[in-house]
Amino acid sequence: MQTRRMLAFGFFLTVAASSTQGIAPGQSQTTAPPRATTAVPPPPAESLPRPDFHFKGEVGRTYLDSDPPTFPQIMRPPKGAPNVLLILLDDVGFGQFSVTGGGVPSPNMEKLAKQGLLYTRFHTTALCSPTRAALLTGRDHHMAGTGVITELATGYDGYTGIIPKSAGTVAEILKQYGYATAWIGKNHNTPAWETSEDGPFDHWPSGLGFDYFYGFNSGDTSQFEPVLFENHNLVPRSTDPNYHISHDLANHAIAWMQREKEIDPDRPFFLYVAPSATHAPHMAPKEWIDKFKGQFDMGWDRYREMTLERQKKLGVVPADTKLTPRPPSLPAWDGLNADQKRLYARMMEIFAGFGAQIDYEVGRVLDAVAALPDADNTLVIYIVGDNGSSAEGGLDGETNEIASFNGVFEDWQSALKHIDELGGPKYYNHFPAAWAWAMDSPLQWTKQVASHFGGTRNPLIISWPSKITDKGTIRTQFHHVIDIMPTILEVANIPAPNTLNGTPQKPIEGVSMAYSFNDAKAPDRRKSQIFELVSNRGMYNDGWMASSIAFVPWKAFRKAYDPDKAKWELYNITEDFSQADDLAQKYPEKLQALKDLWWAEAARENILPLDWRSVERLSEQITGRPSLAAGGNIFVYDTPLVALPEGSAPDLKNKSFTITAEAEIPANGGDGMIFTQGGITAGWGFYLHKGKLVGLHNYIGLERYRVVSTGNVPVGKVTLTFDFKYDGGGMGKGGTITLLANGKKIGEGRAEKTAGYKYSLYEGQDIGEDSGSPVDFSYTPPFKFNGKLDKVAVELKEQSTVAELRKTDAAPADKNEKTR
Amino acid sequence: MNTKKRCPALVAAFLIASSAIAQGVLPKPEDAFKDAKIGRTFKDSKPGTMTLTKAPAGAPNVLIILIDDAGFGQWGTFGGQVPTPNLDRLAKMGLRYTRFHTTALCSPTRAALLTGRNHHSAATGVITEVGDGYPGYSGQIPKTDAMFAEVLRQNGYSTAFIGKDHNIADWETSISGPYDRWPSRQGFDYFYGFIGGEMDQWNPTVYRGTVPVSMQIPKGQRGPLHAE
Repeated sequence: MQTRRMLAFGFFLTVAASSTQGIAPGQSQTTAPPRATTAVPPPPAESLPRPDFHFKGEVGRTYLDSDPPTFPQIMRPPKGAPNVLLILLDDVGFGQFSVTGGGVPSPNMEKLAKQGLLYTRFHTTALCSPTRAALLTGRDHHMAGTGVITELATGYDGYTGIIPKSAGTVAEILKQYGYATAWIGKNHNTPAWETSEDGPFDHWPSGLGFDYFYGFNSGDTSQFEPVLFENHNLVPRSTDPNYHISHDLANHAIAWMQREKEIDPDRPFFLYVAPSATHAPHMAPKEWIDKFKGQFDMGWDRYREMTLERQKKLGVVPADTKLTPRPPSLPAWDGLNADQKRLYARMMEIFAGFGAQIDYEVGRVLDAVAALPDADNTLVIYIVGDNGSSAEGGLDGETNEIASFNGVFEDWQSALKHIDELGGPKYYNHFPAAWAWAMDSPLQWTKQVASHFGGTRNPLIISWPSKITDKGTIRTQFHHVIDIMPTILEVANIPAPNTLNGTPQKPIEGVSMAYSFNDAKAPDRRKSQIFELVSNRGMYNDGWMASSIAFVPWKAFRKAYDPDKAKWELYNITEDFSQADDLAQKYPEKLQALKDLWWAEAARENILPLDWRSVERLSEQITGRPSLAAGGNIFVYDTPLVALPEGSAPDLKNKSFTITAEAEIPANGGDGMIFTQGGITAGWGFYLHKGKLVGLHNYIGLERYRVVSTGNVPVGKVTLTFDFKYDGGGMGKGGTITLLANGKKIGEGRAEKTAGYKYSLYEGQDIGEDSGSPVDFSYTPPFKFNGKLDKVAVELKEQSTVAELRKTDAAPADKNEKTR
Repeated sequence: MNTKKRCPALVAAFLIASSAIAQGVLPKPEDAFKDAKIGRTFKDSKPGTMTLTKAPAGAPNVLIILIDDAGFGQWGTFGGQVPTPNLDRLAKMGLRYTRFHTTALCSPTRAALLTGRNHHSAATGVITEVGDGYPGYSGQIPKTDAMFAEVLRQNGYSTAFIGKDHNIADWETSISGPYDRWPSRQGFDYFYGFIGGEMDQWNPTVYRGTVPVSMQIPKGQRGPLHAE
């Protein structure tokens, strides 16, 4: 025992000595060196968790005649295991940031790339939850149950939105080897019906291997008024008038990292930072937006040319790379009128400000890493985007991204009216599809399009000062997001267990990229990769890629499609970086072999059945997705309850309903929120405003149908009722709002249209106040109810059948319904 | 307080219930979607049923209250001088057990309560602060002695722990973790309380989950143009 302890002590002295070499001049020398502890690295385990500690000495009758006691030892990863900082941005094109030649300045990314490596043939899945599931598990997204975003889950193994226990995460393994683990930012990997504060929490970050979580459980969020959770608990609204989520997330990442190193300097950390930028809504502080005034007046066509020139100059693409042409369904910039140009240029300025800001905020995290005592032994993996740039804004752009989730695309004339307020807290805006295509320069297509690199090719920067010597160089090996997990495990010298928490593990499909760290010319170790996302298909094999797009991404309703008749293209991507030259005619046998390989891999990887439906999969009623509220008609709330996610709250869509509140109104008049679902993007509000009762439907930000009572409601105890009588006839129809006080009608009006699919991705139902954003701008959240709410009841009434809903779904007017 | 009709779900839960009770291994295997039919596209396929885990039919809500350091003859309900009208009321609605026993110390009783094992078997022969490296005394409740909260949770219960947690080994109580032996990893969805043997009643150090309630994250440098 004595000997072992001395050995352990010696080991830590060595670590202490080597780590001080990493401190640069001018850096703090006051940080305490790592302390000697009794911790030793564990032997590798086939099965995790490890067995409990057991005393191995002799036990007598009392401590006097027993061997000396030995405590369980503190778990430590293998010697030399680095800190790991994994950063994943949201919705970023290959040609977006200056680090790869784009027009959005990214000095901090450039600085990191100079200290490490820039990978230019790294790929994602073309969509959010899928890439994130693949990243954390090292398995293809379908094998991780996440073939599509969680909101569109269906009951097939590849599409449940549930990361299975047989696909354990890198965080869970690292944690069980002694890493401290944290997740800051976006979590889009919890099944929608498990995101309420009632759990279960098995698929929250805490159930996926993370000690600490601070972030949001949704596809996107207002950047100014997010709904955030810390571990399992709702975070109170910020009181900072200048609040922006990018800044907040960076603060939390820095604070966690510093705290860990202060408390336990010997323990390496795994910190996963997933900002909301640059996903819609494009919202940024005005100072950032204003920096880009006039900088995008050249338009998207010229932007692509300029970007490719810069990319060639930087060497991030081969010198003979071709610029792929604009798809016919996207408009030429030169053909736009002056108002359109003014609007779209402004939308791009906002987007650029949002992007430049996140580079700055992540830069602060990187600066904090550089100041750590063991900065040199910190592996930074910075994935610039979970998929290509998003074209979900439609051809004209949108002032409300959720409109497209309801199958509605605004026209530019309506967006133009709000041009001066875009980028601020009132609008959930998204730039036009052609800008997304430009952000993906020089590649084809955008987010969702897994068949082509505009959807999947994202810049990747890796830095590890003590181990990567070939600093500031470029790597061109073909890799995929599933390769990150095995890379981390290899550099930490931690084997993946066969059994994790009692569950036998599926094979990890990724291959480590560590071989390429100091060998630019090393032959590719990833030889093959299948791609599939909403039926867009791709098959990469040994330098060749077969690609078949099913639908253009700005098309919300997707009906006629036959995978056997879909056109395939063939590219020699070793020589053709941008997939510019389709060789399908020239090498039909090569193409056929890749198509056959695709179907074989698809069957093996849980990719089947192919499903190209889009917005209708949002509907719980159509998909049969579980909901905590399913099957109920009456819901009674005795206490104020905020931030109940939409998927766990009573579903008010496409039906009649009544909300009844037993309230006590103060003598000076009632004011404040009684009941709300949604916020600026769409939803319902039932509140008192300066003594009057208001019932409101926000129709995807385009109309706010607001019914106000004719007089003030009585003070004292009162029963207030909001009754909505749905017209019926399918999805998204109108209805009549009636307001009552003590059973007496005090207001009536019409909502001519309602949102039929989704109110919000991030904010749900609130009672007694309004979390997140307001449903209209007559009040300021949190807008707490100033009286007393004894009880609020929601009663759901007659609703349309699935068949009726499907009928409407078949024929929406979709002006984006243009062919390629 | 949701009074929505759950009857169909309850029937389904009842059918599952018998197997849930007999089950020897947790976590349960995941849904295998045996009822799914998988063709090439969604048109020639039928999705499987995604189920919510529900507790067996009739499983009650459970509220456990454990008072700290109280004698048998202390409260009015049992003849003591301290008036306890609420305890009296509860006793009137239910039962009083007069030959019920604990371990005579804090962490040990709590470990025994939560695991259903003798306190030494749960490695908590004494309070965590004076634990030592003998098997019955480390203060680390072993994985072989799972808390019943974990079992309930995995069978569809919502679980919470409010108040005193005196069952974390001394060297694992910092906010750096590891959290394996904090309530959130022992079967409790929610924790609000304090770690340790006792607490100033007016100025306690309280945690929500694993986070000190009073902790403020520094705001960092404000002003997005700071970089220039």
